[in-house]
Amino acid sequence: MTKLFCGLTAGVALLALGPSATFAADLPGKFDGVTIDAKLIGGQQYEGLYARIGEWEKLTGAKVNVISKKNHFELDKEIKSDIASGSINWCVGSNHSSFAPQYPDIYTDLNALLPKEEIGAFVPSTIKASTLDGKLVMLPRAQFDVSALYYQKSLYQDEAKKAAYEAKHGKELVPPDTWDEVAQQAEFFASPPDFYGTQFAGKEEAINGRFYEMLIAEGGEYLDKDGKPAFNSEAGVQALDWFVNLYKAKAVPAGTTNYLWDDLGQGFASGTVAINLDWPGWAGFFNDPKSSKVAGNVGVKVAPKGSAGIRTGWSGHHGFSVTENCASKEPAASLVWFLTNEDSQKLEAASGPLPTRTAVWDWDIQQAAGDPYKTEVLEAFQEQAKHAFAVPQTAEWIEISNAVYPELQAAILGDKTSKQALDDAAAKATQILEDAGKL
Amino acid sequence: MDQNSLHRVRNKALGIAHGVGLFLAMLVICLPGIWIVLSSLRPTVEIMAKPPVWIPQHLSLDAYVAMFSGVGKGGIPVLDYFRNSLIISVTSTVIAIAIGMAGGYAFARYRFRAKSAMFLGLMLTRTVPGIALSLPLFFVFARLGIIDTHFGLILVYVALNVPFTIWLIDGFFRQVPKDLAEAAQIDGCTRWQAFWQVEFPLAGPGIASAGIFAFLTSWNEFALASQLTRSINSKTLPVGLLDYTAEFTIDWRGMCALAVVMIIPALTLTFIVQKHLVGGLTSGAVKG
Amino acid sequence: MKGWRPSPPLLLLLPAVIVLAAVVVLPLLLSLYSSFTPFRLTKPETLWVFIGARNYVNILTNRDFWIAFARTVVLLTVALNLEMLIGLGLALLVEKASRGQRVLRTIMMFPMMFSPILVGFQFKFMFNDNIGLVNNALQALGLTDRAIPWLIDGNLAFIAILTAEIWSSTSVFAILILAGLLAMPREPVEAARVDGCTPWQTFRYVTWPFIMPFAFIAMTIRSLDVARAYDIVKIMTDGGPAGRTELVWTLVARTAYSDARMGLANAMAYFSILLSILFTVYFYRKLAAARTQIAAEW
Repeated sequence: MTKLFCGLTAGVALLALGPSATFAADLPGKFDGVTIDAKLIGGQQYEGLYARIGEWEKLTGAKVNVISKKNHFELDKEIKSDIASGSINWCVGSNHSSFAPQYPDIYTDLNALLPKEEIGAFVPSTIKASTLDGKLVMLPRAQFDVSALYYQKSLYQDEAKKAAYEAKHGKELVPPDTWDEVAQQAEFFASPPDFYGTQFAGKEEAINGRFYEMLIAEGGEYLDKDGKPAFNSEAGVQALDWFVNLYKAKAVPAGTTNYLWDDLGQGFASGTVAINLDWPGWAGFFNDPKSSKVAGNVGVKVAPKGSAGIRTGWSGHHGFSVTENCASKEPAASLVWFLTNEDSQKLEAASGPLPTRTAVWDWDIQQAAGDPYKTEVLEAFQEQAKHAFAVPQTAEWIEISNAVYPELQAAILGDKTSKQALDDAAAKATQILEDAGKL
Repeated sequence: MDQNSLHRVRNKALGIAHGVGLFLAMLVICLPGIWIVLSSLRPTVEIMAKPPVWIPQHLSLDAYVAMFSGVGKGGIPVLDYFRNSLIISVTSTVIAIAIGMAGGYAFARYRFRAKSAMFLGLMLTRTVPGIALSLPLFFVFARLGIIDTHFGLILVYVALNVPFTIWLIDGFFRQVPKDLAEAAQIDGCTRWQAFWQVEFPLAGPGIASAGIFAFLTSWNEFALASQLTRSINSKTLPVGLLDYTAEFTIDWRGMCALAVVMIIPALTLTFIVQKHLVGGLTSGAVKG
Repeated sequence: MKGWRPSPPLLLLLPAVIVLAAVVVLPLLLSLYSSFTPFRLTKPETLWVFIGARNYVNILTNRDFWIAFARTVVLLTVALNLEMLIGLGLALLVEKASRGQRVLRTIMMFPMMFSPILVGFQFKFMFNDNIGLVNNALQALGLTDRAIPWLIDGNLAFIAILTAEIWSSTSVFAILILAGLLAMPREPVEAARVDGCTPWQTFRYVTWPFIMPFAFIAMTIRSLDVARAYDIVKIMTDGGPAGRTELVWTLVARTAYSDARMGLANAMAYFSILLSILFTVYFYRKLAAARTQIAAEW
């Protein structure tokens, strides 16, 4: 541990104060001759930020050596392979809140390396989601993801539709605020095969995540406080029935159980879907006439509530971590800080993604002034961020997802009843947790 | 109408039917490809439109411009990927052919114990799916420190291509009459000289066809490349395709543009060597 | 004794053997070992726990695995046979063409230039039930007014995957069979015609036996290489929905990396290797038989 503080000029007296000895003013610091090996998430959306690495190098005198750049799923595979072959010999890595619980031990606690006030500048819920067993394993970058409701505005301005809806349901046709209303309206708008009420991601972690947030909104819990699977409850059945009934009513595209995010985004952009719960990354795409038929007609609002009065808000965010094996943790932490500091977050947020620093949120909304669509988007997502919650922090989350989603699909497609499917899924999940020695 | 003109009419009808059939078959083969090329040139709003836009309205090279315009502006390091792909594919093809020639020659010209078992054994190494190989290979390569190097990937692709190369070249050498080389040896050539001056030139088409198969395999391989490469030091084009996917979004147009960049060299090469290709495959199959 | 000198064939084969041993056999031994452990990627220490054949017992008693296994066998059988038929038709069409051979042959090989993951994305979008090319075309032509759920219904998804697989791999058959057709001596065909055989009879009894070895060589090559289909299936359906299109490879890949249960996945992989070996050996034998026949006749 003492080696960590060798580089500090703060003096012996400060050492006694314990871990958070660095001052914000000291960042980014001076680290001449140090080289940091980094594994970063690659791809267009994420790489703009890395132009700032050069600046950090200039400021600190250190060098960054990017040894890997891959899309997140490939990076996850690579990190697992590294763990397995004992080759975690790099310092800084991209991380994600949904993947992080799988490898809690390889990353070091950033609380010990960075000043408290810097960590306090982040949105508290994201810091909470980045903390595993009291260890802050990553610092969030401006790539925060939570879903809000996109809808086609014109549908709600159409007088004929309004009248028909009111006649049928005795309610005014306005953008929905509960999931029951979404279902009702989706069935009302749907006219297959040309037009659908809504759609949902249908496979892998995606459907499991959607089910998970619906379960919370219905007042259920995925794992109970002992860590046992508890999603086959009454709330679970209600949550799953929401998907099942829409599918039965043909209010969603028949292919929806095979959809991943790319299909969903393209679907809504094609103008054939009325209401779409989706990620912030699509906001620009949906309103760009070059990529979307519904450009100029997109409304965004906070995600609806379930019957328990809770809004859905499954969220995740990208960030950077420092490995436990890293020999020069101080410079590594400085780099992580630099890539997530205000200027970095502004750079990323300027092209669409959501920030994770409170100050940058305000800045972002200010920037959008005069652009009504962007303002609407940001306000909706800022409100949504308040209702955000991360996935259960268990190392087996992805594995459980993989066991549960085929069961969810089976229920949606009508192969099993919701209860049956959830019971089977819970049995599989229990088995996984038992195998892992968690139960 | 006499018999002759009836015959002519029938022939003509058959000819037309053949033409139509051929055209339709080629269309089916090309359509998905054309669709990719078009997708790279059209705005996404047209590609994923409903009702569909059959006739392209706006064509532009935006996706290509973006691809080359550097990080942060939608660019990806396509030149690096291209260079890596080219170096890795060409080198591994050349080495695989050299090894394959040695192996093929041994099978074609010598008798030795357990020959056919050996042959089948070599072929069967190819049945191991990439996915089963990727992790153990990673272990070995990580120990040797050749992850994310050209050398590592070249080694893998050589191994991937050697069995089939041996097979094709073996067939070809069998077809070259033994007498020719023997005659040359009687004329005072060493066996080595006889090989290079007599047998090798005759085996040209076989080598060309083995080469194109090997090249295409290396050029398109994804499963192992994605595990064994990491950065611009060695990432190849197929791995680069994933640069266009983010966690929740995909840039289909950009992906198509990169695909076109990938396909053009392969297509050109095939076009150039296809004549030898067909000839080369012939002997490989019949003479076993 | 003069000391042992290795025989020339051994020397010539040595490089091939070394490369294959290093890249295939050695890693395979490693994975064979790990299939007897509860090895988890995220817990490297589990590599040293020996659990005997537990993984194998697990698999043998796992119904889902066997369904996936059977589906893989069916997919392979259907795909390989259809690819051969279509490849044959294609080769016949191209061979008959009097002009533009060079271009036609290049086009014929066009799908081989596509990386399998690209083929996966391409066909996934084409078979999208809502905005995909296939449904759009069917609806525009008035053939259906429904959105056909291509990738959802088990059978339709099977067909969709089959289509992608056939599109991407028929070229191998076509090119090899074309090679056979071009190599065929003219005289037997002429003789058959003079003898008054119908075109069908000529094909069935003269042409087909000759090109059969070419078809089998293509079969052998393809069965060596079938796991290539993994990339396509992974992106099109990833075995879903509800496991309706699960194949051995998708199962192995998910178990190995996503679930990080490498030991179990490696045990499964051995079954899939076994499958490829069976297919390969079967066709290789057929090939040998066909060759003998040809050798006898010509």
